Amino acid sequence: MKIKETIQFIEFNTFYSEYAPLTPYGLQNKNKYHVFTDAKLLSSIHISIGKIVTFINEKPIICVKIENHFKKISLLNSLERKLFDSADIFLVKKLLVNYKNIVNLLNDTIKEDLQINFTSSELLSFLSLDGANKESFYLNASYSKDLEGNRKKLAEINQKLAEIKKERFSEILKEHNLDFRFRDFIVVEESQTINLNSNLVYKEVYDKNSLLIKPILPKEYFELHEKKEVLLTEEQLFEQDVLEKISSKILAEKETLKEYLQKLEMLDTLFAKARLAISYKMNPPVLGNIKEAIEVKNGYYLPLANKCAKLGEIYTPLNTEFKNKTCVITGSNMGGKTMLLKTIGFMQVLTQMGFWVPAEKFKTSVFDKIHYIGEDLSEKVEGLSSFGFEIHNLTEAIKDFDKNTLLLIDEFAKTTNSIEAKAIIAAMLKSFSQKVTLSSFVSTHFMELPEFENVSFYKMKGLDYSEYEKYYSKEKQYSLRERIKLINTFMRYEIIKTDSSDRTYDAIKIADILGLNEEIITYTKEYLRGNYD
Amino acid sequence: MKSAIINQLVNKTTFLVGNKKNAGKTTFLNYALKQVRKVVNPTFFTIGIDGETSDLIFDTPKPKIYTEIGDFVITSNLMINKSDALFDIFHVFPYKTVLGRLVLAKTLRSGTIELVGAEDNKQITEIVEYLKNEEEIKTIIIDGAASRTTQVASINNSNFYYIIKLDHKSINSDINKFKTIALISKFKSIDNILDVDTKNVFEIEGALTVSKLLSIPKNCDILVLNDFTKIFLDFSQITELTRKFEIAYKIPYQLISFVVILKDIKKEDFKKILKQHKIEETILYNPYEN
Repeated sequence: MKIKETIQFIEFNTFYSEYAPLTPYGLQNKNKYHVFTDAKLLSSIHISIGKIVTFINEKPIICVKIENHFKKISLLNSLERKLFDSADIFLVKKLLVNYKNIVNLLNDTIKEDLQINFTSSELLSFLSLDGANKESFYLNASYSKDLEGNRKKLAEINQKLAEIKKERFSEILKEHNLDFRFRDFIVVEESQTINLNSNLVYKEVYDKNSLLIKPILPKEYFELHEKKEVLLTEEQLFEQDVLEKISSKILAEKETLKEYLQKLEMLDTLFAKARLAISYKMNPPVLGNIKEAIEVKNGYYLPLANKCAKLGEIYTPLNTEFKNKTCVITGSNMGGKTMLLKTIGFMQVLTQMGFWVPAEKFKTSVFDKIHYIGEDLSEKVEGLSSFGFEIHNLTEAIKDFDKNTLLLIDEFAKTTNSIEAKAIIAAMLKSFSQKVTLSSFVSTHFMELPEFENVSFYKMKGLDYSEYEKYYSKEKQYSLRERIKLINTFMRYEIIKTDSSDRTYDAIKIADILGLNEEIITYTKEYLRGNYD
Repeated sequence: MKSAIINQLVNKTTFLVGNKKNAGKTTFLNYALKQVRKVVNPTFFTIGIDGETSDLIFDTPKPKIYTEIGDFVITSNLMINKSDALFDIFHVFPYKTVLGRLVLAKTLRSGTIELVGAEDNKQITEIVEYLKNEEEIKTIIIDGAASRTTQVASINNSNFYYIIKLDHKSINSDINKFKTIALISKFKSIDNILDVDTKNVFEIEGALTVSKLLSIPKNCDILVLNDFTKIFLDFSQITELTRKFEIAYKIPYQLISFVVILKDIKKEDFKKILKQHKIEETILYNPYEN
């Protein structure tokens, strides 16, 4: 489902950035912004989150351990190959070690629910010849007798080479006071190099003043070095045999490994969702019939609620049971109409992305399509006005009306002339109310829209002017910030059922609070009373 | 001098930065690693594939990097497979290079290793964070890309050696570069300036270039930059600025020392040049000189 505009409108990413899966697989899943449309699947996800929430609450330390194992898992290289190298095998081993530990730490309820088990003990033992539960990996000599013999010879030669070097370096130090223990060469002024023994060191020109001196190692050193080169070539062949042996074992369990990755992705995302559910005291949404209207009890639009909490301002959660599937929302400027649409959109997107919701109750259904029509949040299409853009989006949305669709319309046609705009909105309401598969929320400033069957009217309660007047002092000089704070303090962000005849004149009061010149305010009031020529 | 190097490197994250290609960074890295191993096994890696094929000191093919038992290296899995050393793989980073994914490996058998490294500052930051937080590694040495200092700013509180190759032909421009680095490395971290609240602080976003000088208000007391790598002015321009206000950085770092590699210049003559230019910096002369 394409919900880019809705995601932008509801400022979803301010919340989504807190959603933190810990494995690369969980993160890949997060980045897909997957919106589910299968109600059964969504219900099972919401139930699984519940089981993990219980587990986290009951066994917090075990859950931290599980999450620590999530963090240790890296992205596997492709399994679609015949031969793996040491790094590939290390990644498989690390996956197995951590996945096994996770399975051991999970309780039976979750394991049964998500059908998680670990059946690769044999493969893990094979990859752990140098120690059980050790996450690192190298081609241990125990994998092959040939490799073991070869490495033993290499170790002996390396030791002899080191001894020869040590002996030669101490000889040079004694004779010439040149210390090569920590330097491969030494730069010496040419005048000081005359007496150097040409059997112990050789000279190269460094620059016009100095020579570069290097130690000469005995013949035996080079002979041993040649033997070492042969052994190293042999070692590579033996290692190749071991890699083939291990690769075939891994390939035999390829499908099991892929299943582990799927389970891991699911488990990681469920844990991350459960963490958010706990942190925001969320609840599972109630998925009802598509014919039923949406119901919200104490619903928090988190992007705003978090901002309010930071600023120490009061946030009013949403409480309402919509009567119809076509709802018109009216109310004052700055009265919360847009926030209401955002709250509905936010709860719905959370629900369909498999999250719990920050509400005591959110009863909804699963939509196949979610559309937002309102302020152009993306780049404008060249030659298209705001109104043109809205019409284009509406036309596109209408194509989906044969599917279960949620439509959020914010102040439609506010940039065109009010008479025609009101007519179009009236027509939209009439049309929308006849579509059984459509749930629409239309916020508007236009009053006295016609009544239609199956269309409900709501308004935001608006400014508590009597309380405001008690507080406001005409003499005091308020800054713009203080005036906005005043509006927020006395605005009642509650939704109330109304009818199409309701008239709200908060705009003048808001303009007054914001400091509009008294003459204009007076003339406006006169005009509304009808005694203005 | 040797023990000073050990103290400067142990339990720290240190970058080796050169003033040009083939300045001798890798040779200095091998020397530094040998010193550090007296106390602790180091962890080392490089930045990108720097394309340096030869080294100033040798003027021969690029020196090999030696890894000893217990050292941790970060390089690509292909380089691990190619090496004559033997490694235990501890971690595979998610970064892909043309030579495979980057891995963290512990040396089980000594040998030589070719380093392939992180390709941008974000990767460097993440790698260092991983080493410190997940593996509890404290001594990290990073062979930086030639003539680029931006990498140093990727890690908070990092140290760096500035390896500067000076030869007869380019002595004037090299000395200017030397003076510039010496000057800008002395500016403090904003956190270390007293009474900042009482002063007029102006922050430059991004690089400090000639065109941005006009945007600095006349009443500015402290000019804040993200880090020293954001200065794109020459020595005289910076000197002029320091007469008007104090310059401070948001990301603290420390220049440990200049490592001076002289070619066709005698040390005595170089010391005279330093005196002429009133350069009094801590200098570590080519550690390979007798």
